[in-house]
Amino acid sequence: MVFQLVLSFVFAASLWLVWRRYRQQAVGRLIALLWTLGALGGFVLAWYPDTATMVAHLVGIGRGADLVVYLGIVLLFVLVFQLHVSHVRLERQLTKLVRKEALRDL
Amino acid sequence: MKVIAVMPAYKEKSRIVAAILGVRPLVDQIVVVDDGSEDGTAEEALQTGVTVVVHAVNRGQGAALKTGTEAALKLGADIVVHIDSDGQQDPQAIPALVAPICEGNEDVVFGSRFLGVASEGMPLMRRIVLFLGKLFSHVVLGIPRKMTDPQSGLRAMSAGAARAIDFRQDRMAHCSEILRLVTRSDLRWMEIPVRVSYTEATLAKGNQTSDAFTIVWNLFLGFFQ
Repeated sequence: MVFQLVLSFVFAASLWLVWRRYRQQAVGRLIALLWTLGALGGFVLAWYPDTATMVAHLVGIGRGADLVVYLGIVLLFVLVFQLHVSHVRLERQLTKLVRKEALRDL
Repeated sequence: MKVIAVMPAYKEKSRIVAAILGVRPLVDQIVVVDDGSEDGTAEEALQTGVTVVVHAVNRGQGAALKTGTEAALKLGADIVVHIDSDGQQDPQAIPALVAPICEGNEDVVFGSRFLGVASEGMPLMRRIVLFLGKLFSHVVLGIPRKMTDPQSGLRAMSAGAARAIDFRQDRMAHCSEILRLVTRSDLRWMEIPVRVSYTEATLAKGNQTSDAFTIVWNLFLGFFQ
């Protein structure tokens, strides 16, 4: 029961935070909706763990816990890749700035 | 026609002056881009009287070449030549690189290490990596098979071509990117043989075999920009 309560608190806090950020226009509607979907999914899984097993069976995976781990790994890959791409984008912006400065007196 | 050579330089204090003196008689003007060196490369280059622009921090060879190209265009170049600052590439190839553009036959001319003029001291591993790079360029990037040297850094281009080729790879992947942009455009291009001399010092500082993976990764990331 403690585990479910802690997770519920975490999901509720993340929902409150993401919609606050949305109101502040720090994140877009799509990201906010995806977060909401993830948090609600997590909430359901925390209180009804058998749901994960049911979904896992539907996609040919034996246990619900395995499904959660696989999805977590995929999600982490996507997030790391996104971070990498945004890092490259920042690097290019830095290059533009450095170039502008280098050519200023020419 | 005004020919301006762009020489990107990073920590080349000991070689930059010799490299400039080798190139100077063959072009109208030189732009050295000091790519954030902290060893006095820019000061050495300035003593020769060439134009020097300085990157405040190191941004990579591709970024330095782009900065130099923009500088050359600002200075009224009709033809822009890209050549390294370590003296590895033979500057005597410049007249042959520039001639087809002056005659109006080509827009971009690439120097190739694999058109009959043997490179001095090229390690076997470098040859293997370049062969694999050529295969990758053809299969993945769609660069025509007739391109013999997809990683050559010695090239000349008309001002129009220099404006049209909007390369964005800051580091080593710019060679492949430039080839891809040129061969997929309407620009006319050709290769000519050039001589490259590898020394222990230039090999130690230049591209390593493992850099091939970085180039492939950066090109991959480039598709998501």
